[in-house]
Amino acid sequence: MPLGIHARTGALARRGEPAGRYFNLVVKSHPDPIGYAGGDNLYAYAGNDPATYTDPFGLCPMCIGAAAGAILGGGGHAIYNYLTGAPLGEGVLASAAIGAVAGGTLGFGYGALAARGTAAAAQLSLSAPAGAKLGQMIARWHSDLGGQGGRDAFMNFATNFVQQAQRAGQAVTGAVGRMQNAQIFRVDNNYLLVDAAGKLRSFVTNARAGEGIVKVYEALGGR
Amino acid sequence: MPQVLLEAGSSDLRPIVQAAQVVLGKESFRAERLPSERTHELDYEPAAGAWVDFEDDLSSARASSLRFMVESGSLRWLLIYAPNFDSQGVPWWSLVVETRARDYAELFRSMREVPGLRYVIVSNEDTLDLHEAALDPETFPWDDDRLIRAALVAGGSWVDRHGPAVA
Repeated sequence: MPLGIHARTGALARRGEPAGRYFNLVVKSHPDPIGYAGGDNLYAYAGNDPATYTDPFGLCPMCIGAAAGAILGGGGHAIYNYLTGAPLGEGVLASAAIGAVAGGTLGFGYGALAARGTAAAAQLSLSAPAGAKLGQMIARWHSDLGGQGGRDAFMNFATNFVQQAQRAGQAVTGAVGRMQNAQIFRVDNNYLLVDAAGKLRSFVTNARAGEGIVKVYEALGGR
Repeated sequence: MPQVLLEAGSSDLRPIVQAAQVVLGKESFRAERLPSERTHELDYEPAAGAWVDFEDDLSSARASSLRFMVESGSLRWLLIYAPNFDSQGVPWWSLVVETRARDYAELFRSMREVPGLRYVIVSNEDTLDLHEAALDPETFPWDDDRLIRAALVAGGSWVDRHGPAVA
């Protein structure tokens, strides 16, 4: 199998995995960060890794990110439905859940910076609307994994990919081509590019040093 | 592993279908269609039938996109998009092809020979961000980091140049 990611994310990236189930899985794995009031483990708020993930303001960036993500995801979808004449409730809960997952996991990964968590939440929830490029990334993903699945499955996969890359410290921000403040996330030799507006722009698998997005990643300080 | 993308565009569907047929040649593939009402969901479904059925599906607007997953060789997938697909502001028919082959020249040449195409673009890892004004040789993004090579029809002939990227 060409993608090393799949073995680790298979449970989340399975075909048709409902966003709600993914949401529950992520949230339950990181309990309430309010000390003993939230449970017996004081470090559970940081995924048992407080050296890597901190919350000095006690703001629970995961929660803030999740809430922001839910609002952005759900609200964004409701607005989209309004503009396109679709039933207002259609897809809102799913988008809110995806946004919450993105916000929660990314806010958590970033540490205490709620603002960045919110920004990260906005990224993936904004990227949910379909587009030609997203379709191309899904096709590439299918080709690599030899599988099937729709946009939601790819979005779950991408969310988890970003989370892994951030935990590993393998995310860099900078000008990518004509895009300012774009972010490149790396897991093994696979790369995912998100532009400043939050759209998923490129998903590159099995890249080699010196090629395209790898070169940009290194130029921006990634290793 | 290189991921080279070729994109072609036309104001008519026929040249796009022809270009897809040329690229696919005798490769075996799995065809999928995207019903127009599910465009935003990118919810492709298996498509059976012949090319004439695929073309009819698109021209009648029952489908907004076709996807061809290639099962062997260096070719990976092809996507055909209807004009203004998902309100993305690209008002022409387009075809995007992804290949693992570093040598894109043969595909590029065979696509360019299909009559009726407005452009054929080769790029690295990602397609360019095109819009109507970009299809003029004077305003085309020749310096885009992703661009390997592009050919545009201007004044009845091809303007063919290389970009900064390499395959």
